Amino acid sequence: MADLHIDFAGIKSKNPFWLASGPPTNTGYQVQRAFDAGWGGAVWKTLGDPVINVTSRFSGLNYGGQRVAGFNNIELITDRPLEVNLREIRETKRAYPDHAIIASLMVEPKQEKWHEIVKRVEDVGVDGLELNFGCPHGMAERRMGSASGQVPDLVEKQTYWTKEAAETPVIVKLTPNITDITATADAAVQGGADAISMINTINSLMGVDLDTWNTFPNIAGKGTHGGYSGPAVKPIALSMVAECATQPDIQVPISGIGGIENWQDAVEFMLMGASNVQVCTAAMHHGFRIVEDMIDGLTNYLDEKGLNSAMDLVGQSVSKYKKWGDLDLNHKRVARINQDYCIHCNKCHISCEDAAHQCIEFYTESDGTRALKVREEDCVGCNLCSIVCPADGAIEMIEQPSDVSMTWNERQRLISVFGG
Amino acid sequence: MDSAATHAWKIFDEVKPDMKPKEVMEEANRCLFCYDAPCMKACPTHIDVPLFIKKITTGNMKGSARIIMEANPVAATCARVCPTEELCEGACVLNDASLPIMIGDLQRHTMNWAMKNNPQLFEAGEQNGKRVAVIGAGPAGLSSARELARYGYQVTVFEKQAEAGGLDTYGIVPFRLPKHVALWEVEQIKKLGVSIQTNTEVGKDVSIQAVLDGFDAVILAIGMAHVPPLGIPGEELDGVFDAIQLIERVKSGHVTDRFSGKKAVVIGAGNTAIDAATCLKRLGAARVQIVYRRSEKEMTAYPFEYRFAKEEGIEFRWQTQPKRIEGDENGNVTSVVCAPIMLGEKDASGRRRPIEIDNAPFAINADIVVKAIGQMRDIPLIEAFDLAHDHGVVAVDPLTYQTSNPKVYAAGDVIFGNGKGEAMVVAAAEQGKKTAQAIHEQLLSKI
Amino acid sequence: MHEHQFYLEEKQKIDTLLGNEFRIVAINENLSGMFVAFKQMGDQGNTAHATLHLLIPETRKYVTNLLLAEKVDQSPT
Ligand SMILES: Cc1cc2nc3c(=O)[nH]c(=O)nc-3n(C[C@H](O)[C@H](O)[C@H](O)COP(=O)(O)OP(=O)(O)OC[C@H]3O[C@@H](n4cnc5c(N)ncnc54)[C@H](O)[C@@H]3O)c2cc1C
Ligand SMILES: Cc1cc2nc3c(=O)[nH]c(=O)nc-3n(C[C@H](O)[C@H](O)[C@H](O)COP(=O)(O)O)c2cc1C
Ligand code: SF4
Ligand code: SF4
Ligand code: SF4
Repeated sequence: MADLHIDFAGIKSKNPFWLASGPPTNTGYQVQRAFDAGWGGAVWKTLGDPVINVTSRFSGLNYGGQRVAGFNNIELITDRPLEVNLREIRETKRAYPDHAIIASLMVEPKQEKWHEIVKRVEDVGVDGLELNFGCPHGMAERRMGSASGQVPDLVEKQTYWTKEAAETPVIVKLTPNITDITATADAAVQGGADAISMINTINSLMGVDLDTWNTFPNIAGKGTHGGYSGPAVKPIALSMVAECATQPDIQVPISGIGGIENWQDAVEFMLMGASNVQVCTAAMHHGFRIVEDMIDGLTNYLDEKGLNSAMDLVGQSVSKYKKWGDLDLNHKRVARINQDYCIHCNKCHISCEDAAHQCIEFYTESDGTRALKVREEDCVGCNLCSIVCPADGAIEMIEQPSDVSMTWNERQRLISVFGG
Repeated sequence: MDSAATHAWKIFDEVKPDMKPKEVMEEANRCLFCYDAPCMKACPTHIDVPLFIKKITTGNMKGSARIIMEANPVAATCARVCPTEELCEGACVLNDASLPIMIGDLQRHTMNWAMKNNPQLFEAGEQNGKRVAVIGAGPAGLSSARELARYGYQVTVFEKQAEAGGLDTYGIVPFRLPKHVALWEVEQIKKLGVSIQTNTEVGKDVSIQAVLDGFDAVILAIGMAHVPPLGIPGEELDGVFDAIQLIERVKSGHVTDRFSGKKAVVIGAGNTAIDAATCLKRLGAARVQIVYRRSEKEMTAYPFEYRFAKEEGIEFRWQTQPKRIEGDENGNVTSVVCAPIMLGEKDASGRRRPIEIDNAPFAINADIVVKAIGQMRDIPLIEAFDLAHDHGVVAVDPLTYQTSNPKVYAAGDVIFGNGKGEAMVVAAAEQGKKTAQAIHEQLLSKI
Repeated sequence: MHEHQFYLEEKQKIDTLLGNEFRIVAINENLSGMFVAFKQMGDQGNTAHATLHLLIPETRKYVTNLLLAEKVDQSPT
């Protein structure tokens, strides 16, 4: 059976599954329940000057009958005094020495503030520190969270101050509310970060009530922008992990966060360069027990792939993630409809007709029934029809091999000789 | 095989196809993944339903199969024959809000995957030196054997039939439960090192004393026996059959044209009657009537079976009491003479007492009569073991499944008493599991 | 849309020129598409010029594949 142990910047964990900093890691009671359920580690709810939260705090995006396709929160960091949290961290670490406990920290961008909190949390035996430069709401108005996380200089400086005092590995948690995440990732590395984690939540407003015209969520009739998380943010998180993993300057391990719900999501993040993953919203939606299938599913997957260790997955797909200009213009694939599986909803036709290249045509079968066929020479292989097709196997995208590849960059070089 | 025979076999193919991939995903994702889920509690073997369904959604089919079979060693059978409307599906929280999750069908989908891919799900425990004999390789016996093997016992199963599986192999009609499904489950148990000695009847091929002396514990899982006599004149006529023997012959591959074009009367209205009736229809019977002395309300067949029978064109004649079977000069059945019935006060079983109306007998034309009025008990064997029993229902401690002989345990239909629960595969499987646990607890101190 | 038809037409024009000993001498891409200038380089010392305005992406790709093929062909020597 494959080995799920990971080594994340020197932090050992029995599996790659950690709880992200958030409501599930608010107290010792919760973290201990999570460890009992099988989680390998937990990043404690962000510590700092205790806040006062508003009610209500969350809102969910339901899509097509499924709940929590996306999730929005305006919760701040911990509202409990540091001593209370530290006591529970110490107790939990004592009772679960084989599990990783990471302290998430957020203080004002001042050297002495970072030094103080680092010393106090390391005193109770945490395995590492995570600097929360991410929360997009509330704390940002107090110049913390994403307000400092969006400024590379501040990221670098605060990381540096932390490193001055820290003895355990320092993970810098990045905000996605920035144009180019590699800029802040790089700043963290310059500041001496041992690892980076991403993403924190994304600026969002969940919705507006059509009857009351109040926002979701609303607090006495008022709302504010919140942080977006859950399945809907996964592709954004994955691309940010990939951006960092493909940067030659960023050599530190990456902890992948954002929309991870199951072992399959976790495998994707690891293939794209994450050495472990963190989960918040899915644990809020279903409880800690989801980790059972994450562990079981990952183990079965590794066994099936003939891999001995979860670490063998890390970064395997990174070399496949390129700049647009390095993609092969000569690559060709076309859609083909398999009549055995087609259920004749005609959705592919109308999508292609109205939004692609008008190449899915009706024809009449010998028995008089109407069916659809792709005019392959005009098909640009965009995938739209196969994306909208509700019948598994009805549309296959057929690869049409070309002898030579030619990327955009190569093409532009060729043309440049001719003055293009 | 010639084409007629091929055709005959085709009509015995499993009626219900596997779910389609899209159906599986839509249905599995509809499950709410309830906490402390009522479906799980309603399953007699307590399969972790939300978890096995969650694993389907993540493509972890091996994990899904493990979760199911961990709780139920005969889960491929159960997915086909369990009265799910009464059990898991009946308890699903979505019954009120929308439609219940098709738990049985999802379970069948996972088990079909397992039968196709044969993953190794379990291992035998480290040998603890203790030996247990199991008499009867039906679901109760097999389930106890699987659990005991996992605890590290050396298990020998004695089975009088040529193949293991009990009624799963021989008694439930193939178009609901193909034989290969039951035999696959037997295979999984054999893989754990359980020795299954078929064609070996305890009390005949092996002596009772040898079993009692040769093992540290004995599990009696012999189920029930054949259909009892009707006790009416004409029972010996040519054309009168025992439902269980009839189904057994069909499941063993004896498809005959004996019933083709015939008019059949099936007496009784339980599982067995319905299985026999639908079986006759597939064997070509022109008309099949089920005759039952009580009313539709009192019949013991499950609603889904009743529905299925009606779909198959079976006719029901309620409140009808067979009085005698008449034959021609050659001794062949020609009709069943019946008396109409009135329903009186409720009896001990809570069902209204049938009262015969004497002066209005009528005849139903028939060439074939099939008896399906329950099953007898193997009282001689039970008494040879010297076990306390009530009309052949072996008495056990409800927690430990121990009989009056502390070394002998009993599980499955052999302890199923009328009016107490249902004779079901899933109940037999759970009892087998519990018996194994009880034995382990008892013998643990001696290991 | 039957863009493939237009591609075949544009390609035909290119192939005809190339078949008549024309060679690509200049390429200019702008908002209107691609302008390819050809010059005849025959043994007879013909020096005719021609310019094609290419609209279809597939043809604009074809042109550069021709250049690439030439490079690939030449590379071993
Ligand atoms: C026609 C029919 C349809 C049914 N349909 C359903 C259904 O749809 N759903 C459902 O849940 N249940 C159904 N049942 C009930 C179900 O089959 C039984 O409850 C279940 O099989 C009981 O399991 P068991 O292991 O106790 O006994 P059995 O399955 O009867 O197995 C007992 C085994 O012991 C063997 N044996 C007996 N005596 C000896 C001996 N002396 N030595 C060695 N071996 C011996 C027998 O050969 C047999 O293999 C049906 C039953 C019948 C008859
Ligand atoms: C309600 C809520 C509170 C959160 N609080 C914190 C926090 O205190 N500190 C922090 O670093 N991240 C916090 N997060 C962000 C999560 O740790 C995580 O980065 C984000 O939710 C994306 O992951 P997910 O899609 O698995 O939830 C919070 C998220 C949610 C939903
Ligand atoms: S989840 Fe619990 S704390 Fe939150 S609103 Fe509901 S009942 Fe209250
Ligand atoms: S979308 Fe799929 S199912 Fe619908 S018509 Fe097209 S090929 Fe058929
Ligand atoms: S009760 Fe229904 S919805 Fe809930 S876990 Fe069970 S099958 Fe799923």
